[in-house]
Amino acid sequence: MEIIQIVGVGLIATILIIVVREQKPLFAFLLAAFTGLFIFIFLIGKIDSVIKVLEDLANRSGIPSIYLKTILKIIGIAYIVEFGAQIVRDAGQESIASRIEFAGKVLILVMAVPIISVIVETVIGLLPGS
Amino acid sequence: MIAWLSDWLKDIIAVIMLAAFVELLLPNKAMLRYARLVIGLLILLTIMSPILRLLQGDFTAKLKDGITHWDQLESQHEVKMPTLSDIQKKAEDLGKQQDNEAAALMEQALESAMKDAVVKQTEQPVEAVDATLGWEKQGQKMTPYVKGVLVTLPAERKDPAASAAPDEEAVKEVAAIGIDVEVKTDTSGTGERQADPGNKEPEAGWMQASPANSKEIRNLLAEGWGISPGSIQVRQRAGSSE
Repeated sequence: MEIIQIVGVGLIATILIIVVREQKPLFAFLLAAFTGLFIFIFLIGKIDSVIKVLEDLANRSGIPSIYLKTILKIIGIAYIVEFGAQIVRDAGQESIASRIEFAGKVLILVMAVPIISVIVETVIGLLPGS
Repeated sequence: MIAWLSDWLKDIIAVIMLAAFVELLLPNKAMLRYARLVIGLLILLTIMSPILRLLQGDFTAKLKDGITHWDQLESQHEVKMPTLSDIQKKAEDLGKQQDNEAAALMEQALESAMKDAVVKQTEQPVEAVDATLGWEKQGQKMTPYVKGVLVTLPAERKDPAASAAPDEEAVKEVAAIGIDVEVKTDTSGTGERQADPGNKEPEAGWMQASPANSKEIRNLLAEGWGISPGSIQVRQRAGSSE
């Protein structure tokens, strides 16, 4: 029953933050950040099982391992970016959060470059007279 | 044919299922469009795989090459910050080099100063002063000290103590010091410079200077530079008495 633990931690942290916020806004932010970190680390192990299922699926169907690698990289980038951006957003730095998200988008697009190059090469190869 | 078709279909279905899974896993909507692009490209690649295989042979290897190439490019772009230990090591090397240079400079300065002093005080021509520096540990740092001094006096013309048989094979330059014309003999060629201060034995071509002279020089150097008289060696070129 991890969900009870997580929700409990979240509720307690919320109440504490509300209490503390009036006196020390800095500590309220730190509390929020660490609660987020705790829940993230707590759940990162659970994602492991999902990834195992994905790997199993990929192995059984015989799709190239490079596909799965790319997809897992995308998921990882998305999670890390989301986590970092959320913490920064909590601290009120909206602009930095959007920069972090932008960086994540660029890195995901970089993953696509080798795939695009293979497809483009094929399409060019299909054209007659080349 | 059917087997090949079923393989192909299985691949497509697996990739599409993977795509659906990934969309579920993605944390927010902002990333969804970009992730969808990449996954869509992967699905396209899977659907096109028969054509690709026909045209390009093994395209997965090509894809793998491309991805590893990109990864390497990325890692090349990363700024390599030198670690603290690297910097410290470099600093140590530089410090050692600087110490050595400073010691060489100091040696030269000492030699010329000693030579001047000896010439001035004893009013004897001195051919060369060779100071050797050693390193001793003082606390954390290595500090140089004068390990030995070798004073070379030019050969005297009329020296009754000229016992060492001069080797006439290698007749060297006429010394420019002094009024007298002196013929120098030198058999030890290159060994001339690297005289060991602890070595009291006169080498071939060298002899001990007269005790009075050497004592005077020794006292002078010992007083002026605080060198122990034991590490000062005075020698004289063995000149031919003719």
